[in-house]
Amino acid sequence: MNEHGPEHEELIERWFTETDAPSASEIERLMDACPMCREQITSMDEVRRSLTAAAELERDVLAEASQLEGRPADGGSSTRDPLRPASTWWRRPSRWVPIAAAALLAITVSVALRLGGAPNPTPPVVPNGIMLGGEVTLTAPIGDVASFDAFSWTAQGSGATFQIEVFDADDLTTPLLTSPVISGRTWTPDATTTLPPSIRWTLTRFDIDGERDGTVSVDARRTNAP
Amino acid sequence: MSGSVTNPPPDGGAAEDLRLVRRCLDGDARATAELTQRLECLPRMIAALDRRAGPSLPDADLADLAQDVFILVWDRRDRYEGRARLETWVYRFCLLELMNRRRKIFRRQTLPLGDADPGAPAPPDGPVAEAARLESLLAELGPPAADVVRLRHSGGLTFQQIATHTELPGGTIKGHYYKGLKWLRSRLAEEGGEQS
Repeated sequence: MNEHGPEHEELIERWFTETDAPSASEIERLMDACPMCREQITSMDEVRRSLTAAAELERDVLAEASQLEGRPADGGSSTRDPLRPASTWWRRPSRWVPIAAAALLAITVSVALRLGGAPNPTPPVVPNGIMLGGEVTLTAPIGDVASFDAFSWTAQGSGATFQIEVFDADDLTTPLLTSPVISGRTWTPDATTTLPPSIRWTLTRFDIDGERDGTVSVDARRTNAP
Repeated sequence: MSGSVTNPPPDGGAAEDLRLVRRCLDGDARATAELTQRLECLPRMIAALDRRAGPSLPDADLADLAQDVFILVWDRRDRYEGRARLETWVYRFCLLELMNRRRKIFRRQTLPLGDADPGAPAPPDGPVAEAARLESLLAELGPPAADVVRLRHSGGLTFQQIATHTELPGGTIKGHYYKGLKWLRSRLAEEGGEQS
């Protein structure tokens, strides 16, 4: 039994796959008799332990991440919550805008399909605003609305300013309306009757230094188009 | 025999998640919103992993990373096959990308500017680094062996349960597992040799 060969290999395979598993003493004897088997068993056991440790890490992290869902962002404490360090993780407009655009494109396609298809008793499904890290929420107009008279949003914190751009949902190249940079949470354009029935409006937020720090958009459709 | 290891029948939750992702890919707005909401766990996962990986990265780096991983996951959502729950699938991106980021930062901190020494010291080892190394090797190993190894360890299934789950003979499952274990061992040994 000293020569490393198929018999040894088979014994090792049975040990690791628990198939007619050899006893621990049999394996001990094999390891004593064959240095190659000793090395193989030891290193494979190490791999197995590492896989188990990796699986435990995965379970811990997933459990921890799910336990924290719904926890208040401020955590009731002034110290940093190490598990919520990324409350501003969305802040890099040039990077996340394509994602938001992709999501909104999907929404638009869905709405367009419904509008172009057979009469549908249920209204188009449009998410209730797209949020920026929970700090800005577009509130109106969203989805099917009677008019585009006023644009409104909510935003946490103070000192920020905002600018609105309104696009034809079918042509996002040039804004049809652009607001001045304002500090309020509502904008009432002078004339909205010229807007097409389906629009996409975009809110850009600027920080206290006037630096652009986030953009968010949503689609709306006027149900009583003139 | 209807199942195969390369395309195991997903469990109930993973099957639901797969339907969600497919609806999102089909342009269903509600599914898109739901998927976006599900991905909100991503920064928490990264932060939880980061805390276990050694000295914490600065908040700005973590925020940056979370955004990169979000974009990566979103771009690759069409590759989600429902082999595991969505969060488990996302976790693997978080793990690998976190370690890539830490490695980059480590190199940046340990090398003089402009010095591209390929023999730069490796970042500190630890359970997260080890898990990332295994995950990366499992991705290289691929199905069916990697699937069986994952089901055995991450899924915590017995060989019999894996056989039932995949509708494959127990012997085949064990063969894949053993092959996977041996392959991992040899690749880890090679990497160890390269490093020393």
